[in-house]
Amino acid sequence: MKYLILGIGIFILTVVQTALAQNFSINQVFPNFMLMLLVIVSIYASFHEALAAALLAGMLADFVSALPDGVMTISFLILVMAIRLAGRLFSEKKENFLAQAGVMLAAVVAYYFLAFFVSEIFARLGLGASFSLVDSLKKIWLEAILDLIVLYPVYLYYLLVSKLMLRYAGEKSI
Amino acid sequence: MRFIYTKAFQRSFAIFALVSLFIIASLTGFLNPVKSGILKAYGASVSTISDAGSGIKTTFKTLFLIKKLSSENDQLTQKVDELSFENARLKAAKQENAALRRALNFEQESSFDLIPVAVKISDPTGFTQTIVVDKGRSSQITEGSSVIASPGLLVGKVTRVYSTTSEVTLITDPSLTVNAFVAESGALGLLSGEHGLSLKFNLITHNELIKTGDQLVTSGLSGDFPRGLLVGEVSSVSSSSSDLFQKAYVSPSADLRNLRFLFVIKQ
Repeated sequence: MKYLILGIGIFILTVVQTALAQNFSINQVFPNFMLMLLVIVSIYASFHEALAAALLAGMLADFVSALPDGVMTISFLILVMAIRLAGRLFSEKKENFLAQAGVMLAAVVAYYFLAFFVSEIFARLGLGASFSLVDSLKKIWLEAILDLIVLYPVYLYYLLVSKLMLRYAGEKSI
Repeated sequence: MRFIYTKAFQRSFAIFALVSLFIIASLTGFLNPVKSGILKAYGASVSTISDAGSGIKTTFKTLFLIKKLSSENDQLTQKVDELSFENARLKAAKQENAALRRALNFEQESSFDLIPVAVKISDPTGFTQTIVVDKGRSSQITEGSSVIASPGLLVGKVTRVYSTTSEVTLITDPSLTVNAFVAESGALGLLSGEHGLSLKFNLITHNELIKTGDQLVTSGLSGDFPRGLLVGEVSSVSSSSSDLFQKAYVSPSADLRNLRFLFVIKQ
């Protein structure tokens, strides 16, 4: 039940992200709600929840993106594990918004490189095409700014999902 | 070998197995019905929110543009007059062309067999320039078919087909190249996507004349796209004697940010 609510939460956020991207993108760049949710889940939720979120978000992203299936799942899993490892270094600063923003910026950069390297491995194995990292990196600064803007609303959204998980699954999330 | 009994190992192995299974199922096509179903549900949900968002966007746009409307109306009226004249001239030319073709026993220009489709979603990861449309194999859409916006403006190519949905790669995606020529001078070159925003027209030899405002049309040379589809307009030209070829930047004719209804050319 807990993971079903988390899955529905991720699905809704991805739908909103895609719908907004279709209408309000700036130079084809839009905030990555899914990535922001993963950053927040990696910092605040348990390891199991973070892994489940990475798997669910990754599979959904793989289904709706043109990249070979598996690229986003693997990228998200590695990203979540990396944030969890890094999180140990600043465990006392969890509530600090600046620390969160720092992790978010690092996650955005890491996400681009991870997605590229994983898709490149897939391409070399003949499992699909890769994408241009240079082209993607040209818009990374704009995405980072947009991500920073939506970080707090996504955090509030995560609190809402957590409350629902607590109410219906009876397990403490944060 | 005791480590294989640890929880951490079992957890890691379960994730590895799950991801591997997911990739294998996807590669073998076993996941296609699931994918098609998810894309359909996802597309329907996105359309509902997107339509509401589009309404809000239009309202704000109208409020901001209301001042400009009067002068824009005058300009458009003038443009309509010019185009009407151009249209009449082209009709006459077409008739003359048809008469000459008949005289030379040429085949009549074939019109495209079109399948209307609606855009459901665009790639949310932002790494590729792709969209998903609401028709697939069941509507006789095949991989490699060209996708156009209503008056013959090239939008992209069908790259993946599922039973009820299809994935279209836009011309602004770097992975797609289009053989095109300048309508005014006939200069041939290769078009490819640039940062998902514009197009780069490459491999134009220095003896070819190309200038800002020139229109680019598909040449049909590689067989990927039919000849005569309008791709875009030259926005800037970069030419240096040290370079082997001239280069031009092209803005797509179709509004690729606001795609709603498109047509797939039947192969």
